[in-house]
Amino acid sequence: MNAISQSFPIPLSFTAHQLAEHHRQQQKHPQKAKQAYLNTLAVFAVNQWLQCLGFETEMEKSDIYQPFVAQFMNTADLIVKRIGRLECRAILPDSEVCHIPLEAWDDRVGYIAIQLDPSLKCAEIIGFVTTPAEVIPLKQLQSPEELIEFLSHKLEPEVTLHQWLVGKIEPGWKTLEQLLNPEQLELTLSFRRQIEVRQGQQIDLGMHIDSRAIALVLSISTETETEMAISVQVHPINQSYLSPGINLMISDDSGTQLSVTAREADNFIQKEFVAAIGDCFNITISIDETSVTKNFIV
Amino acid sequence: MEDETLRQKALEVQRHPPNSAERRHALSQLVRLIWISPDLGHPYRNVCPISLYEDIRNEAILRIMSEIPNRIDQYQPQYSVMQWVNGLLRYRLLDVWQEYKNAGITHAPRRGSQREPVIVRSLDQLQLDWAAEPSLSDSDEMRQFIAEDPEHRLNKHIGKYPTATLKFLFLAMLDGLTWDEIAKMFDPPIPKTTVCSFVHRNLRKLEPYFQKHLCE
Repeated sequence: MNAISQSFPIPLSFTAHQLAEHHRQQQKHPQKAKQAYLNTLAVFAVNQWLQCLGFETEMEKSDIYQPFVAQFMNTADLIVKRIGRLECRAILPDSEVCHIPLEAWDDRVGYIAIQLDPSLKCAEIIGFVTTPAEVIPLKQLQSPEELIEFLSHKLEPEVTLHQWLVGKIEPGWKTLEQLLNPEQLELTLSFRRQIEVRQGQQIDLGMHIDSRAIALVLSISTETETEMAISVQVHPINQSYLSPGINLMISDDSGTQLSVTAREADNFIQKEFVAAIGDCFNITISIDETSVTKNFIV
Repeated sequence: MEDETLRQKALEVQRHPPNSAERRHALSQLVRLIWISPDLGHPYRNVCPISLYEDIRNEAILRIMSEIPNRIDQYQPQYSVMQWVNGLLRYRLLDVWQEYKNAGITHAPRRGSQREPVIVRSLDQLQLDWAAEPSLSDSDEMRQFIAEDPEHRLNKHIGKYPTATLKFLFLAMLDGLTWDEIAKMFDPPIPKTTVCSFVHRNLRKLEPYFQKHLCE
C-alpha cells in the first residue's frame, strides 16, 4: 500500500528552526551540524503530531539534546510514555528510500519516516516500519493511520490480572518452574499471603553484550471482594545476581509510582501493593537507557 | 460539501472518549483536513513584512494544531469548522507576530542575553554551510581528550575483548571507520550491532564527562 497519499503535514517555523539551529551550533563538523539540524526537525515534527493526538512524549530526553552523542551517533529518537522509543528519520526531497543507521536499530518500537520539503517549511509524516533495515523503500512503509493504530494498541492493557484467577492467562507467561531454578523458587515465596496465581515472563532488555535475561514474576491473591494483592519481582535467569542498576518501577494513571533498584549482589528485587479490580498500572523494567514497559489491568 | 465533511469529523471526535484510538484517528483526519483546506485563512496579511508572513502564519497554524485537541469539545456544530479555526488563527497570528517582534519566540535556550531573530533555513542554505571545511583544531581537541582520558573513564571494554575499549572505539570512529570496519578489526570479529550498542549506551552515560572537559 502506498502510504504517501495519507501523509500528515506539519508546518515547521520559528520554534522548530530555533531548536534545530541551537543543536546545529553545538556541532563543529559541518556535516554533523546539518545532520543535527535535520534530525531535530524530524523529531520536532513527530513530537508535534503525537502530542496533537494525545500521546505523552519526552522530547528533551532525545539523543538530539546530547551534543556529544549526536556527534558520534546519527540518531533521532523520541520517547513516548508507556510505549517506548520511536526513531524519527528525515527523508530529503526526491529521495525514495528511508535510511536507518545501525546506531538507531537498538531499543526502538518503530521507525517513522518524515519527508522534508526543500524550503524546510513543512514536514510530512509519511509512514513507519517496526523492523529496521539499512534502506527501506518508501513504498513499503505502513501508513500514518496504521501508526496511530499500532501506538494506541501498545497503550492497551496486555494483561488482565483478575482473569488469571479463573485460569485465563495470556500467552507468553510461564510457570515459575519453567523460568527459575529451585533456589530462586524459594525466594519467590517471600510474598506473605496465600498466593493464588504466580506467573513469570522472560524479559529481554536488549543487552547484547552481557545478554543477561531476567524474569518478571507476578504473584496475586484476592485481598477483598474488590481488591487484589499483587507482588512484582524481578529475578535473574541463569545467574545468581541481578545486574546492579536494574530498576523496577510500577506506576498508575494517577501518577503514583513505586520504584526499586538492584544493588550489588541482589538476588532479586520486588514491590508489593494492593489494587482495586479494574485499576490500570504499568510495570517498567530498565537499565541505563534501555527499558521495557508492560501495561496491566487488575 | 467540504464544510459538512469537516463538521461531521469534528462531531466524530467529540463522540469518542479521550485517549481512545477512535478519537485519535478522527483527530488526525480532522487536523489534516483543516491544514490542507483551501479555506484556511490568511488574516492580517499586511501586519508584518511580506517575507516573514508565511513563517508567522505557519507558526500560528502549528499552535492551533496543538490547541484543537483541547478545544474541540467546545466546538458548536452550528458554525462551520473553518469559521471556528479561522477565528483562532487571527488571534494566534497576532500573538506570534507580537512575540517575534519582541524576539520572545523561544524553545531552545537563549544564549546569554543575545536576542537574534530566528531564521527559517531552507535545505539550500543548510547545504551552503555544509560546504565549509571542518576546523582541524576541533577534531584534534576531541582526539587529544579521548587519548588522554583524564578521569580514566574510557577503559571499559566489550566482554571478552580487552582491546575493544571505549577509547579504542572512539578513536576508530574519529578516523571515519564504519561499524563494519571496526567490528572486523577484532579476532574473531565482534558483531557490529554489539559494537554499536556498546558505544551508544556508554556514550549516553559519558555525555556529562565530554561536556565537562570539552565545553569549557
